[in-house]
Amino acid sequence: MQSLFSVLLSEMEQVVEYNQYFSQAMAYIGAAIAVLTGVSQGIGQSMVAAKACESIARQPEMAGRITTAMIVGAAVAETTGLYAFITAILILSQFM
Amino acid sequence: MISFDTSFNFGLSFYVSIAIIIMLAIFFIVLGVKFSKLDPIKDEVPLKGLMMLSVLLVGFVDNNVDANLGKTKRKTYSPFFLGLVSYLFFANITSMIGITPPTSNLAIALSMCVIAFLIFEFTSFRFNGLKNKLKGMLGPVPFVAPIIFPINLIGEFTTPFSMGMRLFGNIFSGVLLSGVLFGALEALGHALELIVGTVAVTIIFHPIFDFAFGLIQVYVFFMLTTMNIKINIE
Repeated sequence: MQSLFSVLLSEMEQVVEYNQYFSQAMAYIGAAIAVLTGVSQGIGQSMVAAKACESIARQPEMAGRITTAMIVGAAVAETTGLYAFITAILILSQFM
Repeated sequence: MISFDTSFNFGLSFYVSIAIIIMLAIFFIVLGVKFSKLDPIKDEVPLKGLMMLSVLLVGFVDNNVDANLGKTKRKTYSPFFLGLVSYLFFANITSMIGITPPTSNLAIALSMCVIAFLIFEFTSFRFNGLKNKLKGMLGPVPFVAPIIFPINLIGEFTTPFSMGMRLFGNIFSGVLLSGVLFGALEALGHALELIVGTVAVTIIFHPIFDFAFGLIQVYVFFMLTTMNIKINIE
């Protein structure tokens, strides 16, 4: 097993050579992984919108105040995704 | 086409924001002179145009400050918030006239968070004093104070920082997306396609990314500043 692994590693070293293209590719992959945070942001924002819809259905006369609270809440929930976006842009900005 | 400056250069955004500030100063001085000539008892002429809009803006800021901070704090905070809201509004929608908005620059957005940090500290020193401030940061239980104090100290800085980054991220994402869309138009070979595509992108995406998102961000920045001032007063 040890020999198989070492053989595989040596094969990989022949294929993957560390140069500027390798680091660029790794940076792109890292940016893509960073942007995956958008999943959690989408769930959070949709929960804010769903709860706001429920409470407007329960109390239609409070619709205005609920809408403003919803906008502020959604903007706060958006922060995580924005940090991911900024991180991805910071990674990519080295190659722009 | 799209540049992201991580070296905290103000660049052109500095001059754009100076232009916005001078424009707002002239605007408010002219309106103030006009309003001072009016007599609220004698002149019952209904207001029109810019005067009506400025009355609505001042009323909006005053009502929000009253609702969140109380009527006694109106004299302290309303002028500050009026300046902040009007500057941020015009800074966010400058891309409607083809200029890169100043708030999509990291340095300008972080200056906004420095302003927010200063107003929070001013509030807590003015209404609580240094002693009460430190007592509040140490927490209610003396046993866990060494753990709570650094967390609270970091919290003092991260709240305005997160507000500035939120503003920057929203406005910069709009600039980036419209830049990508305009860049994609270069692939269209036919002249008619190019014209139709440019008009469509301009009409559909500029109002969404620049006007709507910018307006929402102004409101969010305003509301979060008032909320945090409210927390610091108590």
